[in-house]
Amino acid sequence: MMEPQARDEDLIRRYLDGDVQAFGTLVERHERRVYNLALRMTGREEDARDATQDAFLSALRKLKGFRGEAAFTTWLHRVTVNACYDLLRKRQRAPLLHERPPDEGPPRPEPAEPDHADTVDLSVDVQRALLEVPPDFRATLILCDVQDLPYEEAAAILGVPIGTVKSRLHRGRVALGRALGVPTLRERPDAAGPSEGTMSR
Amino acid sequence: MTHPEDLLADYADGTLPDDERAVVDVHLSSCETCREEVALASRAIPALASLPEEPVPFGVTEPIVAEARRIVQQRRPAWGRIQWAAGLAAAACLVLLAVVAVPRLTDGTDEEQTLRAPAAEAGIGQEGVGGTTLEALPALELLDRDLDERDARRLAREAAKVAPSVPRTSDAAVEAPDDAIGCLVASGATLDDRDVLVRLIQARYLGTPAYVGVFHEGPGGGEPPERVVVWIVSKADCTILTLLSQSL
Repeated sequence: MMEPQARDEDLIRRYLDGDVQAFGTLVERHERRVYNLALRMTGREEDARDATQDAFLSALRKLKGFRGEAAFTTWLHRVTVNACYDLLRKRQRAPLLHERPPDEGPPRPEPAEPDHADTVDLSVDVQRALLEVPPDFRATLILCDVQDLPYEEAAAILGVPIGTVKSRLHRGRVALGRALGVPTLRERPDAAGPSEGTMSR
Repeated sequence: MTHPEDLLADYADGTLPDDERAVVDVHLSSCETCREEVALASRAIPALASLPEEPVPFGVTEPIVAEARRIVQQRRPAWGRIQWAAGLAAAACLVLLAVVAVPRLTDGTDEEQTLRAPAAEAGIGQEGVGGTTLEALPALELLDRDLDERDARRLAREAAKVAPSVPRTSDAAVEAPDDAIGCLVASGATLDDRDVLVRLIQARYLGTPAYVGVFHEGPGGGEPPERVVVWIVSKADCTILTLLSQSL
C-alpha cells in the first residue's frame, strides 16, 4: 500500500528496522521510473526487466550503506544507469555510432515491445533511433528529455559536471535527430560531433 | 570558428536568458553548422517527449520484495519470526494463510498420502516430509491476469535471480489450511525440508483460474536449493496445468 506521506529515507530506516512493507512501498513508488529508464536505455523489455531487477537488488543490498548524502531517487537512478551499462556491456549490444564502420548501416537491435498498439509506430521509431545514440549521451537524453529531470539532478546521477550534461544533451539530441532521419540543412560526416565539454570544435 | 556549444541545449529548450540568447542568435546567423544542429535538436526534443511511459510488467519487482523479506527474516531471531507470523495472521493483511500449529503430517492421514505419493513417484524419499517453516509461507498474490507459458518461464527465471532460500528445520510444524496450498499439495507438490515456497499466486493460466506455486527445491538437510520449480494447478479441481523447472 502506498504511503505518499512517508519520505524515502524514513522508509529505508523502517526497512532496516525490519519493516518489509516499507521496502515494498519504496519499490512501488520508484519501479515505474526505474523500469522506464532501463527500457529506454536497453530498448528491449527482457533487458529492461533484468536491469530493473539488478538495480533494485543492488540497491537492496547496499541500503545499509546508504548514508543519505544524495536523495534516494538520485542514488537509485545512478544504480539503474550502472545496471544498464553492465547489461549492455555483457550483451555487447550497445550500438555505438563512433565504433561503427563508416559504410555499414546502423545496428538494429530489437525494438521494445510496448503494450499499446496505437503507440507502437512512433515510439518504436524513436526508440530505435535512441539506440543508435552512444550510451552516455542516451542516458542524458532519457534523464533530461524523457524523464524531464533538471540538469543538476542528471549531473548528480551521472556523476559529471552540469556543463558536461548540457554538452552531452546537445550532442545526443543532434545524434538522435540524425538517426531519426529528419531533413537536415546539409549532411556532415562528423555525426557524433566533437568530444564533449568543449567550447570549440 | 568557436561555437557556443555549452549554450545550445538551453537554447533549444528555450531556457536561455535573453542576453545569451542574443549571442547565440548572432552566431547562428553566420554558422550553418550550428543552425543545422539546433534544427536537429529541436526535432529530437518532441520525439523523446513522445515516448510513452510503459507500465512495469508482471513479475518484475515482486521477487525483489520477496528477497527483502527473506533478508529481514534471516536477521530476525526465532521468537521474532513467530511474533511476525502471528502478527500477520492477526492483522489478516493479504496473508490468507492461517498458520495453525499441528503435529507433523506423518501419522498416516489422507493428507499425508497425498503428500507422499507423488514424492515417492518422483524418487524423493519420504522421511523428510513434515511441516514447512513459518518463513517459507509467502502471502498469496492476487493477479487479475491471464498467464501463459512465457509468464511461467519468467516466474522461474526471476525466482532464480533472488538468493536461494535454505530450508530450515523448525520445531513447530505448521499446516496452511488454505485453498491455494491445499490445491498445490493435492496435485502432488511437496512442502518439506527440500522445498521452500517462495511465491504463491492466484491468477488464470490460459484462461483457467489457477494457483501458481514457485518453489526453491533442493536436496534437503539444510543444503541450498538446486532449482526453481513453477507449479501451476487448476483452482477448480487442482489438476496440474503446467510444470517447469530451472536450475539455480
